[in-house]
Amino acid sequence: MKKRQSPFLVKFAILTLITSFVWISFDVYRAFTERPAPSVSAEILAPVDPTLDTGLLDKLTNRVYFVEGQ
Amino acid sequence: MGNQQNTQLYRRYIAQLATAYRDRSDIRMFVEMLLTSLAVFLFSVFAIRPTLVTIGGLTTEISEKQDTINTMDTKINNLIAAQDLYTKNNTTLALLDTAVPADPSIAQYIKQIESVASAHSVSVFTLNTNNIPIDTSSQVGGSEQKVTLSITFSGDYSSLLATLKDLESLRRPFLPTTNALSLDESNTNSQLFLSVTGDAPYWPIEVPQNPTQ
Repeated sequence: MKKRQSPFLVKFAILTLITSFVWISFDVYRAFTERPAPSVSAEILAPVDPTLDTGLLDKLTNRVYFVEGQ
Repeated sequence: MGNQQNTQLYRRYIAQLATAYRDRSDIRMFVEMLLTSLAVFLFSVFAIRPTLVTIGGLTTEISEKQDTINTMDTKINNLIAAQDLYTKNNTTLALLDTAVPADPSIAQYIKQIESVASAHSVSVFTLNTNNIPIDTSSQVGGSEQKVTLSITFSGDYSSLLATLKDLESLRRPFLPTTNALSLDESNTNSQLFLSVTGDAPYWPIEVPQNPTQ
């Protein structure tokens, strides 16, 4: 018994459907993974290091310095 | 007459199509498949895709904003800690202005050198400097600049040595590049000279080009 072939229009519709699913999948993947441009400038986001070498400042205090009139 | 014939012809044709659709299961299946595909295509392209893209865009935007909030919170905490440190070490930090001034401040520095010399009973025989800029606004800010000094002291050996050590230990550092000892025996009282050439650094303040509002 000869198997009936699907018409061209049906094959075309199925291929179009598959293509559109692939396109939508990539589009959605990109929407979930693409990072938007930061809303705050990099200068404001730059980190601040709150450490201070107090040992160095103590050394500075002990260095030779003559007060005016001494 | 011609129009009526055409109408009859089309009616018969549509009736045949309807009969074929009703009687032949394969045609019914293909037509239903085609219409289903079309419906799914239209819904997915014009309804599901924009919704999912919007959800994705909003999710990443929320995540990015949360990261920004975390970064800013960390920065605020660091700034508070830095402010506390600054308040605690305010007086000590002021010493940095004398240790590394923003301009050559050569007059004050020469006074320091003279004080070192007089503390060790050594006399300053000569003192020369290179060209010192009066206005430092044209200099590149945020980088080290140097004043070169050439000084000749006269005195006894131990005092000259102590003077040199104190020069190197000044709060505003003197960085000797060459040292030379010489003895002048032309007079009855021979004199010992110490010639020192070195650099005293200063650090012009960097003026921001585009201050942040």
